[in-house]
Amino acid sequence: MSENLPTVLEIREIVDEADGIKTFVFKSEMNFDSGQFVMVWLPRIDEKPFGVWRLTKNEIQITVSVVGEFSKRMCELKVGEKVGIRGPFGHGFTIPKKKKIVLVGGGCGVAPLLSIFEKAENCEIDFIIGARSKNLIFGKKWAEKMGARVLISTNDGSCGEKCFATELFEKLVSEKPIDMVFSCGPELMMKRVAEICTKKKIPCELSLERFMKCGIGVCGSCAMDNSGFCVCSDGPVIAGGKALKMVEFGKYRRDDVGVRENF
Amino acid sequence: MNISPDFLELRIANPLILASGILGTTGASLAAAAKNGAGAVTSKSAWLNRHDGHPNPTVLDLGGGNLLNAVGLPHGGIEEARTEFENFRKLSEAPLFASIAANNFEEFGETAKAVAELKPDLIELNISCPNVEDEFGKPFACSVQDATKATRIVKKAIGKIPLSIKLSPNVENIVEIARAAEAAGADAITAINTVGPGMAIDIEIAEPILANRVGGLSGPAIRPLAIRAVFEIFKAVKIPIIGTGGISNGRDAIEMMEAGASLVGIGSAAKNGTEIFRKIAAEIEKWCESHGISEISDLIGKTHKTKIQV
Repeated sequence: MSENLPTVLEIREIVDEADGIKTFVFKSEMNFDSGQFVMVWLPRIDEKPFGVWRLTKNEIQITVSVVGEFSKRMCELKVGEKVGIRGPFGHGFTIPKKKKIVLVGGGCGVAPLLSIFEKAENCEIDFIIGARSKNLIFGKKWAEKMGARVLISTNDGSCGEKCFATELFEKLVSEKPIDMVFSCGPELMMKRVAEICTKKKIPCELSLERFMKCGIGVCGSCAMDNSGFCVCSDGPVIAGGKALKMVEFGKYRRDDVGVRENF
Repeated sequence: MNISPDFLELRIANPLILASGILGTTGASLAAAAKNGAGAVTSKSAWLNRHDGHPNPTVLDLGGGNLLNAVGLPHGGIEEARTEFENFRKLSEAPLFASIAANNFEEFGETAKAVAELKPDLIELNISCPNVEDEFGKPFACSVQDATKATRIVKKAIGKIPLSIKLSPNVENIVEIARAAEAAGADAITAINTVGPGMAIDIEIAEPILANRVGGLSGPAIRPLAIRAVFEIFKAVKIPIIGTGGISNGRDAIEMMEAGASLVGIGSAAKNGTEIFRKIAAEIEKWCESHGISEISDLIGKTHKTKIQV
């Protein structure tokens, strides 16, 4: 019942991850579950949702990929400048212990998956990272640092295998037993991951993205058809099987006023 | 007992209504609220053409169930309303109340006519949103003359569909506006819209947090204002009232009905999920049963009939 207003934090460090992808580091002891998100506020500009991850106890990391006006402005910020952080919001991943898990991340969707390592005790982790091209690969060094085996796919073959991340994933599941899968990235990629997992009867969880405003399940901007599932408060993490039952999953999303846009 | 209230000959399973602006963008989320126990649902205010809302932050959680919002009435326009209403009808049989917004009298008429063609069970005229003042000036619900004119125009445009006028508490005398709406042909009054506008400032950077800088206050903090408004309006008009503002449990809903509301709007309390509707309905039913009340409509305006013997 306590208030949930933005906390203004100073940018402590900025890491250039790839072309147009930066990680912002803030001093914060915020408690969050892996897979939860925060709203990042640039005063007088806008506020947008981002997955949050952590390398050390008293810091949080937010990774931003330049896709529109907000992310462009965010990536122009310098160390020492301030942003507001509100949250955490939503429900996170169900992380097992002592299991074989696979993470499938596309582009900037790798970021929320990096938050899994802290909680996944004694797990054997394969991390499939997909990107359009070598210069857009984000997360490899972090995942390796945290002890994962990293497999890379690029659309143009400039790094790793020339294929989609889902093709690497399909190959991996046919080669070895897997207990649990987590995925975040382009929705069509996640849909394919969920379909493969359903077929193979492997539990999987996805982190969805929709246009968000309130973060607390009242405005309805992120409600999905036909269940009315609010991505901000019921998600963003959802079981793959449940996502596949939603008519809009992998088909369309809504813009800031609620007009449907096809993927 | 019978918890289906008397209200304009509409069949409504219980007196709890999803208030406009909450989860009302899509037909599916309206249907989910009905499935979770809302007697009827109100869609987010429809515009004739696409209307952009404000940038984020748009909704702030002030704690204690209270919210400060300036979403700014975003809507995709009449064709979107058609698509979403059709989807709602496929998913739910609950009555659908359609809120409408516009920025001038002529457009109110056109919007009302277009929305009436979608056959909602009631049209709610939103002339009281405090969050578009920069765009359009003071809401129409702030003047007897404007409220009268808007009500007349819309009533004429929508034929037999019942019309409720949603009033602003941010006026000198809400009762006068309610009387004017009744005289102009309104079938019901919805009271109240959010209070204020108010402001929340981040003290570190000395900056208002809402992108619109100001926004309407809702939640338990405004309940006494809503109760009092409904109490006063009940005395002044004969048409039924949809009492909205800070209701979050069965006790609050009963209080609102005793003040004079026939239906009770729930908005901010849906923050923790629309399952709250079923919970509040059960609380009302339990209370009524323990007090020997078999017809929920007996609660409506009960405060006005109380005779205290001294």
